[in-house]
Amino acid sequence: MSQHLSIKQFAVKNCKKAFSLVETLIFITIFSLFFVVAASIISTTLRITKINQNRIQALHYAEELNEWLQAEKEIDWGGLVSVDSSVNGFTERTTQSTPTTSFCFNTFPISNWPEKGSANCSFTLDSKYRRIATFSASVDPITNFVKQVHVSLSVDWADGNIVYSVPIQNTFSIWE
Amino acid sequence: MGIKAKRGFTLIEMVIVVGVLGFALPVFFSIVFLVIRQQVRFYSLQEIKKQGDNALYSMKSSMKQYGETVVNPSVYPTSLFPTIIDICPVYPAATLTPAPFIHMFDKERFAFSYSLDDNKIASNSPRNNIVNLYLTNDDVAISDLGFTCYRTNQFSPPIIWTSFVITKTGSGTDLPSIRYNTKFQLRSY
Repeated sequence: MSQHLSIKQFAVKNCKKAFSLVETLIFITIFSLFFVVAASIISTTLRITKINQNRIQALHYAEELNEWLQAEKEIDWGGLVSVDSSVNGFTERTTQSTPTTSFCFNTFPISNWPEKGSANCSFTLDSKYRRIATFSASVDPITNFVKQVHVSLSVDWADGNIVYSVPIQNTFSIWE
Repeated sequence: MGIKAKRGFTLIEMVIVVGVLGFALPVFFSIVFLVIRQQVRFYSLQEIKKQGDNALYSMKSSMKQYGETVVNPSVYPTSLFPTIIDICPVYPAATLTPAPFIHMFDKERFAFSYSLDDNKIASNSPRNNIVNLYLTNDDVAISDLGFTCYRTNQFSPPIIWTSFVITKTGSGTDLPSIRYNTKFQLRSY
């Protein structure tokens, strides 16, 4: 009898019970949440890293254009506002339209001034970027000479439906 | 007594567990590898841009500030006491073919130069005892270094064109690189 009881106790003690449905659901939910969070973190990390890589390249293109414009300004400042779309100097090129004049600098390396206008500027620079410069000039009302030319450079690229941008602002004047 | 105290996993259970692990682990490690590779590429891009910017800024500021005349070193026996003849053609004459070096003289007739040496940009100024001062280090490699010049008229300062490609050194086929291309006009003329 005592032997029989001890065997029963032993069996009860070692009886294994399967997981219940609730336990399984909780486990799967926690496990899934962990993986969803991990996947979203990895996805965000990869996206931000890619954006930062593109940003470095875009900044390089923006700085390159800024230096090229600086050289153009030093070579021939001009000084006059463009009349009848005349383009003999830096100021005349950058005042072809009022109040602002835009250019699409999508060639690499930059060899010359493109036609004015940036409405049709597409992402063809390095098959990914577009580089737009928008100029606005401040003119001395008495002498009618251009005192300063302000430029907003923007290198953009698209990632899905989002357009990212690296902007640079600069001001050129004859006194520098 | 013939009663088993413990029961091991069945073959089916083991196969499922190993199958799931065999699927999950490669996916996990490939994602981790991808993240690491992108991070490394990002830091490499940062490094080459930093060194490229520094090298370009150093060359540009020195040439712009001190450079007066661009000369052809192969014409003279020594760069210390040559007859100084500027070689930059006047536009619209054809510009010179880009060369992987530039030799210049400053106002005090001191020679200085930049050239490609061992995949690095080397700066030389014999009068200042500067011999092969490298503007970039071994972490990056410079290629396609080119200098050329022209002037808009006979009396205007030379305009220098500079271009080079900077690439991260190391093994692998997907090493990041950036091409630099710029022009500037000398001030001391």
